[in-house]
Amino acid sequence: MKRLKLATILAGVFALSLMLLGGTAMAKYPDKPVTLIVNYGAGGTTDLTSRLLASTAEKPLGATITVVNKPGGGGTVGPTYLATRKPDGYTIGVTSFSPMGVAPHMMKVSYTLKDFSFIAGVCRYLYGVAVAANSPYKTWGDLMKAIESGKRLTMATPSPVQAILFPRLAKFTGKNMSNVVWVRYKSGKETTVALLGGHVDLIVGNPMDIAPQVKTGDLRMLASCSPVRWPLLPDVPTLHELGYKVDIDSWLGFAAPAGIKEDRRAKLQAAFKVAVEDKNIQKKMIELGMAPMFMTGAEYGQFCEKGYKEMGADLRAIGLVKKK
Amino acid sequence: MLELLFNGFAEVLAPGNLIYLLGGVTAGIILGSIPGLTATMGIAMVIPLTLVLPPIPSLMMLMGAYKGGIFGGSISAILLCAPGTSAAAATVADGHALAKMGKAIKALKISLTASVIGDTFSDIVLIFLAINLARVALQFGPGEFTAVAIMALTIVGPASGKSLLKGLITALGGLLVALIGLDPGTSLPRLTFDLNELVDGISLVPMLIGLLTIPEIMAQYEERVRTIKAHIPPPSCKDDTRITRKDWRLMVRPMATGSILGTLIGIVPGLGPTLGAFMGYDAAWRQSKHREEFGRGSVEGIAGAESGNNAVSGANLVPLLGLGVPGDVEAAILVGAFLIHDLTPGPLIFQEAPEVIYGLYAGLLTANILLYLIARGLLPTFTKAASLRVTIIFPVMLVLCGVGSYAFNQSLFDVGVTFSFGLLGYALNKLNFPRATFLIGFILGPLLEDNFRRAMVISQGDFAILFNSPLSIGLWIFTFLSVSTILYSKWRQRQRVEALAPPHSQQDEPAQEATAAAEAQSGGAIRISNFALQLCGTLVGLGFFLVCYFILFPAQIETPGGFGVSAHLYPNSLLVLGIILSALLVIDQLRKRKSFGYSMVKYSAALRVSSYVLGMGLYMAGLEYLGFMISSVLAILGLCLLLGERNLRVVGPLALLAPLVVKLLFEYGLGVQLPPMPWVE
Repeated sequence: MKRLKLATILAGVFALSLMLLGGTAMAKYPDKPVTLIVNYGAGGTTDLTSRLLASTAEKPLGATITVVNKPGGGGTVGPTYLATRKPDGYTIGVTSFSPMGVAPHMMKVSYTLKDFSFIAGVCRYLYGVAVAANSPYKTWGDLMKAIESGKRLTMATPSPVQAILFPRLAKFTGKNMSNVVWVRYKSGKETTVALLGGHVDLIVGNPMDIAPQVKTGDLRMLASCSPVRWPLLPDVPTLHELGYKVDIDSWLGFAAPAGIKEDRRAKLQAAFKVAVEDKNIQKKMIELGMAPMFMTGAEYGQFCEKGYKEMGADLRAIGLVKKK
Repeated sequence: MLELLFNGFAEVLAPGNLIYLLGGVTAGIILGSIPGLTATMGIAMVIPLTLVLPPIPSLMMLMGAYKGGIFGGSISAILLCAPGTSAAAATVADGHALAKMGKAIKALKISLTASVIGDTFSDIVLIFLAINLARVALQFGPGEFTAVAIMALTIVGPASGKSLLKGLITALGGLLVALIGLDPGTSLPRLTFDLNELVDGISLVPMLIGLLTIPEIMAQYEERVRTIKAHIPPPSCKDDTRITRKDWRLMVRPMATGSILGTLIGIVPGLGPTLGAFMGYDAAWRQSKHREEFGRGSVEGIAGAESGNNAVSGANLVPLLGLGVPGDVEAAILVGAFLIHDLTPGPLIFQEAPEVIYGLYAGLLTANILLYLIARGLLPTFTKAASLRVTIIFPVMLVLCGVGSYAFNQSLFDVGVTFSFGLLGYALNKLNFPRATFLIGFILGPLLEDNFRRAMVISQGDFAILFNSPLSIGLWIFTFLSVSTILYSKWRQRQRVEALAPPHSQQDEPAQEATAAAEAQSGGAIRISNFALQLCGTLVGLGFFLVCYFILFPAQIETPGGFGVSAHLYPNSLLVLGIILSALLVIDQLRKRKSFGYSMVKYSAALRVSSYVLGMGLYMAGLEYLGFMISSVLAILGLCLLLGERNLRVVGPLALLAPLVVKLLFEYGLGVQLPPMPWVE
C-alpha cells in the first residue's frame, strides 16, 4: 500500500514536471533574462554604449538584459563565443564592424559572417583627422597640398582601420600618398598625447580622443572622415562635403547566433530600435562620441558584408593581411 | 583655491557622499586582496552603478575602489605570496618572507603606512601642480620612452640576487614572452599560433599568479607535513606586530624616494603603478645599508615598493585633468564616468565644473584616511584567515588561483596560463633563476618595443632619434650611471666573497655527504649532482633561444615592408643576446663545476609533487568538463588528503563550503560567471 502511494506521488511529480517543461517550451519569448555579450572590457566606449542601450531595451523587450564582458583577441573573442551559443534568443552579443569586417583579414578567426543572425546596427563610431593647434595646416586643403608636394608626414592611429584612410584617398585621387607614414599606438588616447607633444604630425581618431582637446584649443580637427559630421563638432566638414568620396564607416551592432527564430530576432530588433530612438539615450551616446542611428538587422548584415570585402582589398594593397 | 578645496571637503563629508567613498574603499581592498581581481576590475564593477549616481558620489566610489584595490593587492602578496594585483608583485618576496617569520602584521602595517603616505604625497602634488606638470610630461616621445624603458630595465640588476647572468637570462625570457600578441608596428598577430586567446598577449595577472604563487604551493608539497603547522606562524613578540622605532628609521628614506618616483611615473601617461612599485623597490635597494636583506624580508623594500605603487594613483590624474588623456587603464575607465555625466575631463573642467574637481580632490585625500582606518580594521581578519593550517590553506589557494585567473578574462585559457607559468616558476626556483626579473622583463617589454618601433618608423630607421633631446640624453646618462653602480657593486661583492671563502669549502662537503647518506638510508632517495641539474637547465634555455631564432620566429613573425626597421630586428636582438648570455652561463658553470654540491631527491617528495601537477591538470580539465563547483570540491578534497590532512570533519565541510562561498561571491557579488556544469545550459 505504502509503496503504491509512493509510486503515485512519483508519477504525479513526473507528470507535473513534464507539464512544466512543456509549458516553458510554449511560453512567450522572452520569459527569462537575455545575456548580452560585449566584446570589449568594461568601461570603454563600446561597453558603455551597449550598457546604455541594453538598459533601455529591457522595457520594450519585456525581459532583463544582463551584460557580460568577453574581451580579448582584439574584440574577436566575444563573437567567437557568441557563434557557439544556442540560437534561442537568450544569448546575443556585440558584433561591431571591427571583428566582423577587419579582424578576419588580419588574424585567424573561427567564425564567418554566416554564423550570425544580425539584430540591428545601433550607432556609428566616428572618425576624424586632427592636427596640433600650432600645426602649419589650417585646413584640409593645406594638408592635402603638403601631402601632394611629397612632404613626409607621420600619422598616429591605434589600428589599421583608421590608417587605411590615406591609401583610400590615394586610390580616389590617383596620387601617391605613401609619404603619409603610419605610426601605430596602443590606443586612441596615446595618439592624442603623441600629437599634443609634437611627436607626430596628424592623427585619425574618434571624438573621445579629439573633441575635448579641440575645445581647449590644443588640437584642430580638419575633417570628419565618417560619412556624417560629428555631433560634438558640427562645424567641421566631412570629406564627402570637401569633394572626396572617401570615408571610414564603422558601426556598433548586435547579433544572435545564426538560426534564431525570425519572430524572436524581430522582437529584439524592435526593442533596440526603441532604445536607439530614445532622445535621452541619444544624448548620452553623443557624449560618448557615437553617432546614434538605427539600421535593421538585414541592413547591418549587408553593411558588414560590403565592408568586409572593401576592407580586405584595401588591407591587401598595403600588405597588412595574414598569410594564408 | 583653498576655499574651493574647503567646499569640496564639506561636500565629500556629507553622509550621502561619504558612504559611497567608504563602500568604494572597502570593496577595493577586498577585491584587490583576491588574486586575479585587480583594481581595474573593482572599478569596472562599480561602473554600472555610476550610470545612475550623480558625478561626485560616482567619482568617490571609483577613486575609493581604485585606491583600496592597489593596497588590497599587497595583503594577499604578504599573507599568501599571491599578489592580488600586478602592482603588488614587487612586495611579494619581502612581504611574504616577513610573514613566514611571524611578522605578518608588521609587514601589513608597513605596507599600509607606505601606501597611504605615498598616495597622500601624490595627491598633494596633483592638487597643487596638476596642469603645469601635465605639459612637461608631453616631452616624452617614442625616443624618450625607449630610454625610460632601458633605464627601468636596469632594475634587473638588483632584482637578480646572486647571479646577474641568470637574472638577465630570465629577464630576456620575460621580454620574449611579452612579444606574443599583436606586432606593435603592423598590428598583425605574432607568435600567437593562430590562437585567438593569444592575440592580446599573455594576460599579466594569470601569469603573475602562476609564476609567484603556484611554485610556493608546490614547494610545500615537497615536504611531508608531519606536524600540521600553521601557514603563517603567530607573532613571537609584541614587536612583530607593530612598526618599531627602528623600522621607522629604515622606512623614512625608501618611502620618500618611493613617493617621489611613483609620482613622477604617474605624471607620464602610459607607465603605471607596477613600474612605480619596482622603481621604488630599486631605489630602496640602492640607498640601503642592508642590501643582503632584500628578497628575504626587507622592511625598506616593502616601504619603497608600496609607496612607489600607490604614489602613481594620484599623479595618474595629472594627465587626465591637465590634458584630458588618462594616464593608465584605471584612469581610462574614469573617463567614462566623467563623460556619462556630461563632463569632459581636461583643463576646461576647472572652469566648467570646479566643484566636481575640488570635490574629487577632497575625496582623494579623504579616501587615504579612510583607507588607513578601514584597512587597520580588516587586517586582523585577513591575518587570522591566513594563519590556518597549511593542509587547509593550500588546497583552497589552488582553487582561488584557478578562479582568480579565470575571472580576469572569464577564460579557461588563462587558467592554463597560470598553471603553465606555475610549472615554469617551479623549475626556475629549483635552478636558482630569479623569477622577479622575468616579470620585470615581461612588464617593461611592451614599453620598450612599442616605443622603439615607433621611433624607428618616425625616423626611418635612424637611431639618432633615441638621443636627440636633452631629456633622452639625461635618461641615458642616468642609465649609464645606474649600470656602472650595479656592476661595481657586483664586482665588490664577488671580491669580498672570494676573499672570505674559497670557491668550494672543503669543510662542508663531508658533512653534506653524511646527511645525504643518512637520508638515503631512511627511505628511497637519489643523489643528484647540482652541477648536472644546473647545466641541463641552462642548456634547455640555450636550446630554447636557438629554436626560437632558427625555427619559431621566422615562421611566426610577418614582415610587411615600410615600417622603419624590420619586424625581426627587435625580437632577434633579444634572441642573440639570450644565446650569448646562456652560452656564457654554460661556460661559467663548466668552469666552476667542482664547487657544486649534491642534493638528495626523495622519491616520496617527487611523487607528491608530480601528483600535485597531475592534480592541477585534472582540476583544469574538471573546470571545463565538470564545471566549477564539482571540480573544486573534488580538488580540495583530493589535495587536503594528499597533504596529509586526516581530519575529515574539517575537510568535508571545507571542500563544500569554500567553493560555494567563492561561487556566491563571484556570481552574485561581482557578476562574474564561473564555469558552469556543461550539461546544464
